[in-house]
Amino acid sequence: MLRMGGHNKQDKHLHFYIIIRIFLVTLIPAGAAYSSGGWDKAQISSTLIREWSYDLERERLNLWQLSLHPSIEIPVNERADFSALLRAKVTAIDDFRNEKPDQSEVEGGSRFWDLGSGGELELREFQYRIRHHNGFSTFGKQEIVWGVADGIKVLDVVNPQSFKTFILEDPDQSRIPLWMVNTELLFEQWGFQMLLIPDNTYHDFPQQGLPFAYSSPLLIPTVPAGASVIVENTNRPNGLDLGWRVSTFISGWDLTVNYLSHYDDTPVIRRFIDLTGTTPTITVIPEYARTQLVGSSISNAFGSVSFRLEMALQIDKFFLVENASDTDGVEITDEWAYVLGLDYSSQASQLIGVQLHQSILTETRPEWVRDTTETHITFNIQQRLWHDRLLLEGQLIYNLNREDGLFQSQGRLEVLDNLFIWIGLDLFFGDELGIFGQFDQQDRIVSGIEVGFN
Amino acid sequence: MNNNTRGYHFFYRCFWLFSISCIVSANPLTGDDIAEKIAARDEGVTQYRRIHMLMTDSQNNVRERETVSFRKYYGADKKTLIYYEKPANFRDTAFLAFDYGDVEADDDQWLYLPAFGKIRRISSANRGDAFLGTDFSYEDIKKETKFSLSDYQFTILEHREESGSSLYLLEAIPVNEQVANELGISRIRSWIDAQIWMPLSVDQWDLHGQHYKTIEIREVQSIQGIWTPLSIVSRNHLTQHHTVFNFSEIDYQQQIDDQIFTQNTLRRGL
Repeated sequence: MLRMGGHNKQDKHLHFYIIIRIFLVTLIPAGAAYSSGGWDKAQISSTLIREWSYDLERERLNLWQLSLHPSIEIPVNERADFSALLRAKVTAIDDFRNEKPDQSEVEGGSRFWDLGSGGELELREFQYRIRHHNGFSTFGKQEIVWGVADGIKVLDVVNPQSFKTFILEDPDQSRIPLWMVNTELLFEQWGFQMLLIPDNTYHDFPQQGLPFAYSSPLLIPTVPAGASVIVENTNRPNGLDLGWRVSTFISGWDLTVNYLSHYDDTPVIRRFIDLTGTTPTITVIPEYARTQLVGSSISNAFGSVSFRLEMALQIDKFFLVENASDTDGVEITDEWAYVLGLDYSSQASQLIGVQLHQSILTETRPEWVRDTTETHITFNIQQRLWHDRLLLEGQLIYNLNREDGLFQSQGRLEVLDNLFIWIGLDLFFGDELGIFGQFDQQDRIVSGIEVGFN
Repeated sequence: MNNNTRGYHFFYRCFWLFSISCIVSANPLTGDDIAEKIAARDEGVTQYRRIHMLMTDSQNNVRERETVSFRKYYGADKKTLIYYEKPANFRDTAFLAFDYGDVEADDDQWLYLPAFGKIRRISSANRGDAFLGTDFSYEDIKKETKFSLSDYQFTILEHREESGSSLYLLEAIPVNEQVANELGISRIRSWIDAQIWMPLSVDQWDLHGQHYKTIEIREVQSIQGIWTPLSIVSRNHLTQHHTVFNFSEIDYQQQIDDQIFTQNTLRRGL
């Protein structure tokens, strides 16, 4: 896999910033709340999660992790409040992480503090929220979730994601919070959201050699045998991402219109071939490119069936081409994508969901590495038992183009009101050149315990 | 038929007509009348309260939830938000429901599960489905001590005077099979206190005719001039599981902003 990294910030400065930020997290709210008397109303809670994962191919544990997620919410006055969430993590076994993660895709101020020996301390959320007459503004590190699809992202692109375990990690853990200003205005059934995002953090991809490093030619350029490869530092432009969303509720329909001007969180991997030497030399320059997303979501419920649709046009997006004579191995086009979902819920606490996802390149070129139209279908079934104490769930994501996919199942039991245990199975299958099939050797069983404290 | 016989029959008919008229005048209410009086009971325009939920299984294992609830009437329409504060694993889970007075309109419901970060539109058709693991159904949560007038045929089965209270045993049968299927109920019998027009107990039978659930209102108090249950228990006789809702900090005079009942509040919290 070609490295998508290279960052100039020095670690000592980074650690200084992190320490200062964590210090601020505890002191600013405490000070503000103390002066306003809000400390009495502070809500402190935390969850402790212990998780294991067992590699079915190699027949050994590949993850043993303990994480603590303390959070605090402090009302400063009637119009403002602070909230913060930390994540402290220690791992005894972690095959999915380098001994010293470089976090090159993460903006300096957003990185976690590497404590060494598998320990991490990360500020996940830090928000100062001010209410005003017709809404509120939230300043700080936060997550914005757009869209109505499950497991497939079309509109949910505001925050980048960690692909440390591809898409196996829970969304609330894999989504990377960003520093931003989020303003929402509400006028009766209309909502207007505006986002200003100066944080240039991108998707966190596993480095080469790690179990979930990409190998599919659909995602990275192939290198001819015998060629030497030079990977340049990633070109990381600094710029402001801007987004807005208009939402409304009309006659039972939930509608949104979304717009985001941002740097695509997946880098464009340009490759340049030099045939002048004795062996071909390939120079690879990853860079983040600006793209624009215009989209919409619609949902409603009819009888026992819920209807969901989200769609988007991504303007100016780069895709890999197979043509060796192409200068940089990528071409620009627009991409249409949509997810259509139907959920059927029965009286027997059962939910059955099906989704159709298509991604369509607006320009047809024979040299595209991927197909012009890529189609996925997903099936999901959930059964709640014993007054919701036990949740059984199965999900299949299947790519019709290459007939590869991912099957996941999980059982989650609420032992006590603050104690959960779960066990799950993740199985990849299909063409090893496919996006899912490339991880065919990464099947695993996961298990965990979650304890909540108030 | 001779004249004596005709006279006897005339007297007999008059006797029964008189008796029936006496019964009617002594008990003029019909089942529909009682259901309408219950539906018309004052609930205020707005309501804020905390709900402490205790869910106990047959082994006496107890699970607790701490929530806050907002409710506001807009004419015949009602909007309800229930927001979970404890335990930590459930924190920020939220349920929003729009209950429309127009019987032809489907109610709208949303559920926010913080683990997914997304709001789920949920079907309102399966009204008899259990609400988030409790022994109350979504219908119980939305109607709360009231009955939907268009869903049932109401009949008075019994009238009692007890300790100065006038009590009616009201039976409600779903008007058709579709409603019965949506509610998961074939029959309801409830004792109604005619002084406050509130059910004191509600027994429900499932679609197989089994007596499966009893809801009891344990304590009622007048708060700001409105009769208000302070504690309700629902017992599932088939699973031996029961749920207690204890209400506190009840306030009918709090100004509740319309923005509370939006998806933005579901997503970002109170």
